[in-house]
Amino acid sequence: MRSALTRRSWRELTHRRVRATLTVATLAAAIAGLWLFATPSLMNSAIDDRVATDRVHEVLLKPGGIRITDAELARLRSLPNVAGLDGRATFWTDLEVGDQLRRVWVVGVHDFADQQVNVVSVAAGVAPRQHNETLEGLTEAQNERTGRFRGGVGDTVEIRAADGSWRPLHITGRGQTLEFGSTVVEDNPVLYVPSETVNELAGYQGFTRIEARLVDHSPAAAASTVDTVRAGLGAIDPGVVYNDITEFRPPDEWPGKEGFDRFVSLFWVIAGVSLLSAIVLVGTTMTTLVRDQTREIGIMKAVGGRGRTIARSFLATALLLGGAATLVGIAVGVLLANLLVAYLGGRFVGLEPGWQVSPLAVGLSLAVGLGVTALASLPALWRAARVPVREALETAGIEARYGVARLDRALARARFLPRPAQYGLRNAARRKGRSLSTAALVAFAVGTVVAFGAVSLTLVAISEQTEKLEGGDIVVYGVTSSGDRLPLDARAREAMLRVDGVAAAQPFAQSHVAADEIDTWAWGLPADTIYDYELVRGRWFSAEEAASKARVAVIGRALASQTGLDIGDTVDVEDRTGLVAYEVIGVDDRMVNDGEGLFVPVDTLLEVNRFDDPSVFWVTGASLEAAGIEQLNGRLSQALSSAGYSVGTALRHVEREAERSEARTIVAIIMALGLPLVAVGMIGLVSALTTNVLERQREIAILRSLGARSRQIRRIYRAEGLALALLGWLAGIGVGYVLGRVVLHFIGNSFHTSFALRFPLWPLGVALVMTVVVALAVLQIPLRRACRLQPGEALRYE
Amino acid sequence: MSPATPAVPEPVAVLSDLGKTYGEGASAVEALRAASLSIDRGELVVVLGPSGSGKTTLLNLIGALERPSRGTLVVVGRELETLDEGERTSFRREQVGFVFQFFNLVPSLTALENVALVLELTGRDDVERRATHALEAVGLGDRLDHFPAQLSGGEQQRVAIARAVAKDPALVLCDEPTGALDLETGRLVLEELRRLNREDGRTVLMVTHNSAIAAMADRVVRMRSGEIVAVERNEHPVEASQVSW
Ligand SMILES: Nc1ncnc2c1ncn2[C@@H]1O[C@H](COP(=O)(O)OP(=O)(O)OP(=O)(O)O)[C@@H](O)[C@H]1O
Ligand SMILES: [Mg+2]
Repeated sequence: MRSALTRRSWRELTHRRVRATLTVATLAAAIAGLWLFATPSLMNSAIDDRVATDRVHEVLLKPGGIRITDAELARLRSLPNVAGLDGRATFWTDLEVGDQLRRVWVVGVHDFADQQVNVVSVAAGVAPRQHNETLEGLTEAQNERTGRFRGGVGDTVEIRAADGSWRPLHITGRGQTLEFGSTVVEDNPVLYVPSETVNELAGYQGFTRIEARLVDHSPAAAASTVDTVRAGLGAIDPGVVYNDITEFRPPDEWPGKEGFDRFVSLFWVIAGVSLLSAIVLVGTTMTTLVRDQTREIGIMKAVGGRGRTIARSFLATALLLGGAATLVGIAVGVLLANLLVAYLGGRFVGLEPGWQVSPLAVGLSLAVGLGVTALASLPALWRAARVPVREALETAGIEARYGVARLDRALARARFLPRPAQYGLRNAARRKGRSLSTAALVAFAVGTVVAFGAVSLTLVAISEQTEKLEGGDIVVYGVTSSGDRLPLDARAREAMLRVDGVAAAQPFAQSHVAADEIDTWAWGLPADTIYDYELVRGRWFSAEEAASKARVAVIGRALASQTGLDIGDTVDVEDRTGLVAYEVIGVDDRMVNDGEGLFVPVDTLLEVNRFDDPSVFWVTGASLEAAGIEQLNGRLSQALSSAGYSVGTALRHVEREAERSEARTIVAIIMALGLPLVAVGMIGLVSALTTNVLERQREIAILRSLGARSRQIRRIYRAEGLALALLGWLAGIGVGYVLGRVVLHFIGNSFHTSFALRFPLWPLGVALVMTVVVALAVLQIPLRRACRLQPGEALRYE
Repeated sequence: MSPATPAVPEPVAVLSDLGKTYGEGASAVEALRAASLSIDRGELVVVLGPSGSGKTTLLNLIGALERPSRGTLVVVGRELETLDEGERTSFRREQVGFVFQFFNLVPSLTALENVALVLELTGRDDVERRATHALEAVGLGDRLDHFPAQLSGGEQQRVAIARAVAKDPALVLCDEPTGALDLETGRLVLEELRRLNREDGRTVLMVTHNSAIAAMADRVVRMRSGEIVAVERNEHPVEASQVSW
């Protein structure tokens, strides 16, 4: 008995190959979807590795160019609680790409052979040995995506020195480090050069960054270490000033984490829905498998098989299927998760993680693949085993009890529908459990598409709205403060306004601050700013306040909600010169600086920061189209340089286009994240519809023996498929709305604010077309097969 | 002589040297060998034979449910082996009605709808009325809206008969129509078949291994091991109510 039963389990798989394949594919898709759970943890462990190998700093001080000898550096490194310390010189300047200029960050490395903090590793080529050599910090993919920097290993690029001259740099290789990688992912090229090269180019001596790793990371220890280091620096250069506030990096933070964390919430939501889909799918599949065998169970019982023996045989089948599916699912899942991690790693932190396998996901896959599979078949087995032998034998593979339930009777009364639709609906009602779970799977898939569509559109709308506000049409910035060149001040503004086609030129200043301890930016703007603020509460500052350099600020809504600050409150803003108190007079709705920005009168900001002049102007043109702006840019640059100003300009429409393409990429990523779920849903639909046809071969044969044309039969089954697809789609709208709200809620939380969901209609249309097409296409194959069988043959079996 | 039997017998089905082989090579089974037979319009023919003798095969071939391997087969003027699949489908739709051992009703359709279905397939008008009429004729006028699962075996078989004859076929083919029924209900079904043969003049071909049923036939075809071994004319067919087993 045992061996015959074992053979039965095996034959079950080999004889019903179509069904076995479908089952394995279905289960495997469900299991592969679970690997989304692994993605955040794979990402985190890849980054933890990088944080360790890159020796990312814990504190960062930004003095304004301090000269430190090797002996002094050694002394700083031996200060208490300092695990590693390095000085670094950096310089923002322009890079020539074709006939356009790009902002580039030139990052100095004190000694490529001995780096203690933020180690720049050589990913390709060799480290620079001479002053005119450099490592590029942009992978080929990033280069290609941004099109901003067409340099490659072996090429020579031209960058502008502070004195305005152009200097060639030969690229000897590609460098990588987490700290500057996050700048790279913002699509700014980074060049790693020897420190001396930065000094030569920038025209200052020494270091502008002191980066340190600590033994004890606790805030108190970090703060006191910073004091000691500052004292040490003060001893080296008593006149040292700081250009910026000191940055502390908590141990579990890494550069780029914030951006990535916004996606993590998406992953959890998707992974959660995946798990739900997986369980529903596995449950349905196993229930169907067992129910089909009710008759066979009856036969085995009739010949004296014991319940336990029979159950074991069926479980063996289930586990064989589950095992095969687990293997396939893990293989696909590992691939999926690693591709995602590689993509996201490149996207958010500029690193290329190696291949990893998550034990958690393997465990989860085994649990679902074997555990849930076995568990899911139990209720059906139990039910099948309880059916009286007689009834089981009479089942003949079709639902023998149709007409008992209220739904059946209700559907029988739906006479207004066309006949095929009536039959199709009733067929769907015959396998209520399966129809419902199929519809649920379709709903999950549709819901995902709809929700992700809505969320991405919402985010894109927010980002477009935000980027539109910054910088007018042309940003003019001074490239040097040295000697013979004129400062970019009010007189420069007059010069700009005299250029034909300039509608407005407004000074702009910015400073990196901690506002109530939140790391953000303060913007200096005029009272009649072209920045298109939208106040939720309060007001913008007046011309009088601007003129009198009043300490008033309009704050971003995320900053307001995080700090609890409101109109009339005082916000303490720490910048490089110390602490300044501003009165909050308004709250802005825009998401500039993720809604954490702070807007103050430009002269106030200049005064507080002890800046002489704004050195940046926003210029708007009278003409709106791109060609006009480009010509204006040419005239503006020429007028300013012939008037003795040394300026660079950036065209906002170019940046906006780049940002828009970024936004599109993000939409694509979000949609891609939903794909596994959509696949699971569609496979569920495919599987259910195919099974429906396969198990009704006999019924199809009856219809054929009555002379039904295959076209007529197809119409009935199509109606059934469409009914399920439509039901799923309808439910999917609700699922999508809820899912969209949930995802957006998480995303809003990560921005410390909330967004209103845009729920456009086109994803609904896309999803509808998609499900209907899949449903119709899927039915084609089994229906053709079932109709081609001679009805006599089909009727003989059973 | 019964009034429905015409003076000059007109054949509804003519089989000559008809053969059917299942499978190939060593596992080939010759289910039917060189069967020749002619069935006249208005006849009630019973095919008798032990299990596995090829009765179902013969019936399925005549009803175009399966394709013959050899020989020729002309049913209501059509040479079945020359028809393509579409023509076979329309042949089944127009010319034959089937009654199976296990009823084979569509479970999700009510009794009325099961009958209406074939009428719709054949494109008749006035479907509901005709279907109701057919069911009333088999005594099921009060069971129109019941689903198969809510009917007894005998009632289901009578629905199947109503379904088979509602479209007015030239030939009614029955495979063990009483096989799943007890004597009492079996007799009801036989009476029904007998009635539609005698009163409506339909040609009925009935397969059974129950030799008692042969007593009500006009002719009895005996089969053994895939061959027709005898064709006997029954001069005095009995009423269905007198059949007993
Ligand atoms: N698809 C098939 N493949 C192989 N052999 C078959 C197939 N179908 C029927 N047979 C064989 O053909 C022979 C005739 O079968 P058929 O069903 O016509 O017998 P039957 O007279 O109707 O028997 P019963 O009274 O048991 O229904 C049998 O020996 C059967 O095993
Ligand atoms: Mg038979």
